[in-house]
Amino acid sequence: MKQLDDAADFIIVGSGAGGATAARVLSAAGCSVVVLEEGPALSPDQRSRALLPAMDEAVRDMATIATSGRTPIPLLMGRCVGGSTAVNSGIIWRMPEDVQEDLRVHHGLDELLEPHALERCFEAIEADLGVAEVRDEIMGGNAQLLRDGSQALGLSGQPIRRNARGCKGSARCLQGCPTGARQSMDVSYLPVAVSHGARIHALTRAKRVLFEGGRAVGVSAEQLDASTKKPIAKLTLRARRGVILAAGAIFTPVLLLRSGLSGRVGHGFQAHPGSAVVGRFERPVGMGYGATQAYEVPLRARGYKLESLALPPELLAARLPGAGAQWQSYLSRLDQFAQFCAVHRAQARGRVRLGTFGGLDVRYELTPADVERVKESVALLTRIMFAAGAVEVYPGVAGVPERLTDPAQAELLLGPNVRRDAFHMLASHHFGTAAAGGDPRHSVVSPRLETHAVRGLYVMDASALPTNLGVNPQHSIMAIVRRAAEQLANAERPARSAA
Amino acid sequence: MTRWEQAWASDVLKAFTLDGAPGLNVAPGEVDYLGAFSRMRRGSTALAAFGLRIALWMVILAPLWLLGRIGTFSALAVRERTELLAHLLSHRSFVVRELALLLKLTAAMALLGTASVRARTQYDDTRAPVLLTHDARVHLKTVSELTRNSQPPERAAS
Repeated sequence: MKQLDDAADFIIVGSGAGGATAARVLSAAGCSVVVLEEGPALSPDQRSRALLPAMDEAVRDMATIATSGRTPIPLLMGRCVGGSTAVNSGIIWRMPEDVQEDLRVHHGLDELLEPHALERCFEAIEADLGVAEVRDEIMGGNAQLLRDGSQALGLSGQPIRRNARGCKGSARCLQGCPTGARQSMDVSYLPVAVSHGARIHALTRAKRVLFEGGRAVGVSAEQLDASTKKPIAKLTLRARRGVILAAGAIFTPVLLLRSGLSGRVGHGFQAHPGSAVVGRFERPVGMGYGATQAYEVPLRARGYKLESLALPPELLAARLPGAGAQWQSYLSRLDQFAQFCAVHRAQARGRVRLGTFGGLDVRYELTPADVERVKESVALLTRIMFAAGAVEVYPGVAGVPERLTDPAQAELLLGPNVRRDAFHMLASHHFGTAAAGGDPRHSVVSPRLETHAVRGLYVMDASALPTNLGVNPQHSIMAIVRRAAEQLANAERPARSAA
Repeated sequence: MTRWEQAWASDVLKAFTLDGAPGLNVAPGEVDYLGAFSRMRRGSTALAAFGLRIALWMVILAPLWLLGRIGTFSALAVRERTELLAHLLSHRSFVVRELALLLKLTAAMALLGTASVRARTQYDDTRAPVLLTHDARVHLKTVSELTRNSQPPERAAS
């Protein structure tokens, strides 16, 4: 097999929110940077409208990696240049004040989350990515129904703030923005990093971190064939100043564990599991137009947030009940459906570890309190859907009628016989598997995001966030990474790097 | 997958829709079900790919374990196949429901991934752009792309 080498001040593993932000900051500061990304580089015109090829190209294992508890939850992660920012809806939320306070007080992250510095990072990122509320003209029928239904029930909502410049309302965020409007990392921060000299190795899978004298000095990796995804070359990437892991809260701990680190690595996994409700209306809704996610109802005190979520037609079809004639009648009028979802700040904590034969094991079970909140949120979504004018609602909950036709039936979802395994869920936000903190006994990385165990090895993604946030995490990840990368760029270079 | 399993995959995925039923209809040969099934398996984790195969066997043998009838799914009348799938989708066992749903998702991927079928669902809104229109399109050059058959820049330069 062919052997290739490369070297830079910093080797960054992962090109999503964390890795791309680190690459941008460090390259702009004059550091040489190499970014490794396991997935391909896909330009906007290469993103497929059909979901199957789109997911095959850009979503890790087509979201078939799942938690390994009694009722598995699939985990959605991007695997392409831009990472999950290239398959998400571009929702931008600053880290909530209560989370900031908790991380400062209980995790020793005062310096990382210094309020003025954090504010400056948030503002800079929002300016860079053109963050703004969804405009009325691309709100789309699906989001308008969530707005109308929630207002009818006296709930306070708002248009979602997104990182999209000139969004045309393609409703294709998951498949990949076809107009390049969404400012995912592949069209925003990575091009800036490249203009400063950063090099991106796409289709390159990191295998382990290399160490010398208690310091991270590089990464061994393999280049993959674009079609077969089989290795075609080995790479050794030397890092003169440091190795930055930004492969996400599932695969960063995997890399750390495969590289021989232990302790708290992989512990404390948290997520935002989501559940959804579909409704049918007698008039066209037009889910196929508008920002994929455009309206939200934050219910932080209850532990969840409601959002409009326009599904690709493939997922919408699979979500509709039955098979045969009834299903076909639904499929002939896919413009009449709406979908709302609830994203939960679950209390559950799990663990990422290496499974049998070097595989992956994500242990995670919702707590009874989490399950009660899921039931409550699905019942609320059902009521909102009826309040918006739905003639039928499909909660997708086993043991409850597939089709609800009366708002009073929402009560059925709260019954004691509705258990955790009655729900289909998906988790797209993952946290905490290499937590930052001042105390090495309870954390993996320091407040400067350098591992306690090994010098020159950094974790710059959601793994470092010790808790889940209750809001979409991209902005918080980018802000803490920007802050830590600035500190890193300003740090004195080790004497040997001058050699 | 064996040739038997390939034939079963087509039989099962086709059975989610009934010929001549009101609503969306699919012409013979219009949808590549087996292609979708194969791509789903290829793109999934080994465990999920195994799960798809198990799902297939579960459905094929369902007449035996669910209905107590000797014979496979493929031996059932077309309408019975569809009814059986609907039954599995609402089965009391979480595992059975999830495996049946995995097959339904694959069928939906095949159906809606076919442009002519998708056009008949009325999902797409004419206001949504289909083609790239943004002026600021970005084509990000990557090292793999630039040097697939040569050396990365730093080594080449040294």
